[in-house]
Amino acid sequence: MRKADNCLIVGVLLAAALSAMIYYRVTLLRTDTAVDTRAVIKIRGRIVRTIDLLKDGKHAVYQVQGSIGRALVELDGNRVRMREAPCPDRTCILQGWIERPGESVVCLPNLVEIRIEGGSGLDAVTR
Amino acid sequence: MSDTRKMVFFSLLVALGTTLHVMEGMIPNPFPIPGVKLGLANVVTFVAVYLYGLRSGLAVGVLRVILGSLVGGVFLSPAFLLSLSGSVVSTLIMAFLLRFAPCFSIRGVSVAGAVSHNAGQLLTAALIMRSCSIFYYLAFLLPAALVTGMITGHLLDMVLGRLERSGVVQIYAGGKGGSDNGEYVCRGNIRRAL
Repeated sequence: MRKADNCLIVGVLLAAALSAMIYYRVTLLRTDTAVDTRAVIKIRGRIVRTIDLLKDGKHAVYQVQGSIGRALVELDGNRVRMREAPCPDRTCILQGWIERPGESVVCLPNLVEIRIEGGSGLDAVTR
Repeated sequence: MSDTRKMVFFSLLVALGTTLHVMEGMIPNPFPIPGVKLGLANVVTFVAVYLYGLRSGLAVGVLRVILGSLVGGVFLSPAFLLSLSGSVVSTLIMAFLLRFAPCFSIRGVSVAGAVSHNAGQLLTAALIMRSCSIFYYLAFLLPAALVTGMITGHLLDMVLGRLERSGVVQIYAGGKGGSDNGEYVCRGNIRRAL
């Protein structure tokens, strides 16, 4: 290993730490006190459905037609998840439930994205 | 170096790259992060860049992605576009570093290739999805690329050493094939011969 190699590795680690910090700030720091959140389902970046997330324990399954097939999005009160997807790796299903603003589930093969929006998450953090 | 020998070697590289590309897709992901691959096919692209320069490297990278995705049945799908963009971006970066940044060793260039492969893929993914939220994935992909880049860099050291010892390929790097500690020296003025 040379000096330049080590500099490169340190640089990459710093970039990774930076993106981890941004990720942490945007999603994980937002607490459950966030209100008025909604799940937005996008296909190829186009919004096809918006679901209000309320703590009323409502349960439902929505069907959307993605790029390669049918996907099922499951709603459980104030959280959603990808329940069924036609993609080969099932990454989106394994990701499980999401509920905080900024969190998202992306199914790349099917071009479907579920994203939580709204809420007063940052206010709740900084007070 | 005769044209026929170059063509044969080039075809071998494309075939090897395609095989590795397809086989890697069949192996269950050994890493806990989805989407992370070792990038064995990139070793072949690197060898092509190292021996024949940018244009041949790009040709090997693009051809193996096209052939590999035809075998896998994902031609022109998002997965294909991701593979293609990652391959092209990493080949460009590796060729640039080999040519203009002699301060990096083979392993350093390999790490840069792995990182830029992931960066190119994420950029394409963001363009396809028209969404920036996918960039959060960098936090997981970058450390993974470091590890896989080191592994493929080590493999490259072994591959280039064997290629030279076998006499199939002669690599002159500043008048010296390999340094004493087994690491290959890469400089801007590599002369290749077959």
